[in-house]
Amino acid sequence: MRTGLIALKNIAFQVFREQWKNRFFQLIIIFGGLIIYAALLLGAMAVEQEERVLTDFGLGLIDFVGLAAVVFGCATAILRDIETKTIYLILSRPVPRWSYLCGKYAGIMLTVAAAIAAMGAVHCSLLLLKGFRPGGVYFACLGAAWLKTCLMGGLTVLVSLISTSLLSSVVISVVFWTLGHFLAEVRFIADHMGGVAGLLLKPFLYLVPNMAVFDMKDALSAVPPVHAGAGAVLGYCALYVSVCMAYSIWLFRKKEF
Amino acid sequence: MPAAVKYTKAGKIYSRSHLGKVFRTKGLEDFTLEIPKGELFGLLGLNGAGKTTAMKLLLGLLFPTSGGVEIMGLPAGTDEVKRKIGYLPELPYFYPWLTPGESLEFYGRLSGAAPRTVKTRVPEIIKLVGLDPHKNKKLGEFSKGMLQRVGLAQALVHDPDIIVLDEPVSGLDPLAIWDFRELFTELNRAGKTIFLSSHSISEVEKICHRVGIMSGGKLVRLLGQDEWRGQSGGLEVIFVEAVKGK
Amino acid sequence: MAVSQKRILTGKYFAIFLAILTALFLGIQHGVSGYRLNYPQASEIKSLPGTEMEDMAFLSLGLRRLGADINFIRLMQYYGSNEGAGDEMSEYSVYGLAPVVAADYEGGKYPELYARAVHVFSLDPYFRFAVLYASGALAFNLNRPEEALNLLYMARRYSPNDLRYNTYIAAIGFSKSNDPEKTADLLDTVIAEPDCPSMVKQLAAFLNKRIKRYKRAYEIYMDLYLNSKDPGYVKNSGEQMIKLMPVLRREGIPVPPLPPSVQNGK
Repeated sequence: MRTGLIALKNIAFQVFREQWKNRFFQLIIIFGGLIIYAALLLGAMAVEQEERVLTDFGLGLIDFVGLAAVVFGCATAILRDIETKTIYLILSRPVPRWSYLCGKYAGIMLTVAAAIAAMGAVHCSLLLLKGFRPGGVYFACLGAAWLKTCLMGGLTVLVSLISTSLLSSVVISVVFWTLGHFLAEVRFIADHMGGVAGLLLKPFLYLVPNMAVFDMKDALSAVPPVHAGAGAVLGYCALYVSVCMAYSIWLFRKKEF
Repeated sequence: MPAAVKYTKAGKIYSRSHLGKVFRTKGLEDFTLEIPKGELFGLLGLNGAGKTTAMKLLLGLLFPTSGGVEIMGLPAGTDEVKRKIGYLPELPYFYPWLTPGESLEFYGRLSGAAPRTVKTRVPEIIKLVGLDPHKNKKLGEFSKGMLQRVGLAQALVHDPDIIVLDEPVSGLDPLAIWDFRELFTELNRAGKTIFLSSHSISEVEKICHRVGIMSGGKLVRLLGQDEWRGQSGGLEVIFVEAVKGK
Repeated sequence: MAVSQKRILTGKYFAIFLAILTALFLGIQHGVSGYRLNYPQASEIKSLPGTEMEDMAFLSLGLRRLGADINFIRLMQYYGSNEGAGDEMSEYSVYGLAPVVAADYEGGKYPELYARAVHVFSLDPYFRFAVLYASGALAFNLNRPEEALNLLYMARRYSPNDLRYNTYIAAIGFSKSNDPEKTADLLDTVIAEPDCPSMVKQLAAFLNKRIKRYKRAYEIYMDLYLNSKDPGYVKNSGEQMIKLMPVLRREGIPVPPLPPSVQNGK
């Protein structure tokens, strides 16, 4: 166990370094930073609601960039190691397979956390420049955005081990993301749907994560604010990720290279 | 004393499904081989003969569908056994933004060596494989030969007892091949068991104590130095005959 | 014996752990999948013609607030645009009420205003500023109190404890029954809130001026001049204060002096 944890830590930090060197990843972050400043135009058009528009735009973009980074990172993490045969150099060593998988995941989540923090800093600087002061709710939203990406990361790792290509991994992950924002409605439709379609859809929906749990921005805007609570959000994220990683480990144990 | 490497009727069938149909290919069949401790053993064969398959079975990268594989009397593929093995795959890839030292430190730590040991060992290994003049360059700037040296270095960084080398001199220039040959001999003299595969008959016959010839997933011939040194035409003639089924 | 496929695949303890985890997961998912925030669902979004795909994109990416913001900007741009004369009914009057012929206050009819406001509301029913802005414009500028009240009633369903909506409803009621003093009194309580739209403050100032509460009108214009982020309202407030000064002096009403920038004509 101890060896596994040490290997996990080493792999995680290596992934972190690798991701930050990745040109595509760098472009995503730079693009995000530029767009945040481009939001100044939108804010100017909003006049009296400038603070709201700038905040919503920035948080929305951070969410979106986080999704892009995590789906791309997790979908390519293991695939790339297999294609370049780097995985031979790792798994031929006393590195338990669960440790390798979890190390990859942890490295990407560390990277995304740093990216969200960087973009959050850029966004905060913009808000402060305009004379607005982001409060505790803002940082809660950033935290929730990261937890959302953690969940998507676990799901994408699992999907990447099941699917046959990078494209299908990304597409399936994004489908889950979007369905997760409509889950209550889709469930309602499934409950009233008959036939084969209903029989297939209902069990499938048990796999889709409920993204409403992580929508802090919307939850805290409601009057009165209603949200699941930090503990519930953390717990749900941890459970979903645990299940995804457990099945990933199960699949990965059988994988040959 | 148990053999360093032992295959007992090991077999490997690759299964691939396509449009509902399952296709099976024999990678290895009835493979039996023992490599005693301290031997320098060479595995020869054409492309697709099963050399890499046999090596991957040692490392837990593939699992046998029949038979067994042991290292020092222990089942292959376990963490305990992997600590004793250093592996150089064919055409390894390294992160281009790292220096040789950084790369070796990473793999050294993954091999279970203590950080202090790794820090001491890395400069020694870099010197051993002849990379000292280039130790501060990024791996992205390295030539093929230099990368192969890094590959060998990562296989040695944790001081393994058994070194498994898959096509170690493939694509290298004559000087690099000479250096590698000298290094393998030196490591073997120090007590390391070396198990290498190659297309290069001339290299294998110069340094190996014994050679196995594979064809179609089977070990068709096993012979010692005396056998091919006494043969006119040398190992090449024996190889061609074995592969052609004579 | 090597680590054969059989041994890898068995791992019975891990299988048991997976089974327990899966059961826990499915149980939690069953409970969580019904959790939703109190927002209009996708089927309840009142999309404008041509915005259906855009609205679904906002919802599916978890960006409904941003969708509301962008559509509110479009609403303000629409309301800020000059309209030609013309009596044609807009396709936007689909929400049950034909637009009443508007007062000339802002020179146009803006038949799409209500539909656009409902669209923004359905994306974010807690966008208080948008509701107050649109209902203020509908009720007091465009003489369409029924549409304004509809909007406020919808907003109140989502925020029943928000007293501002009740105050607005009351103000519109008094306005309909031609009681400008009561209307002005009620609007006075609303404009003190930090997120009150400048347009509503300007309305309140205009109303106070109409009922000859010049000092109160001056105070509201001063507040607008100093605090509004909209340059149009700032400019207008400055002009109105200059116009009110002689009246106030004549009436002998003491008021704070004009800011230097107003005096200098900036």
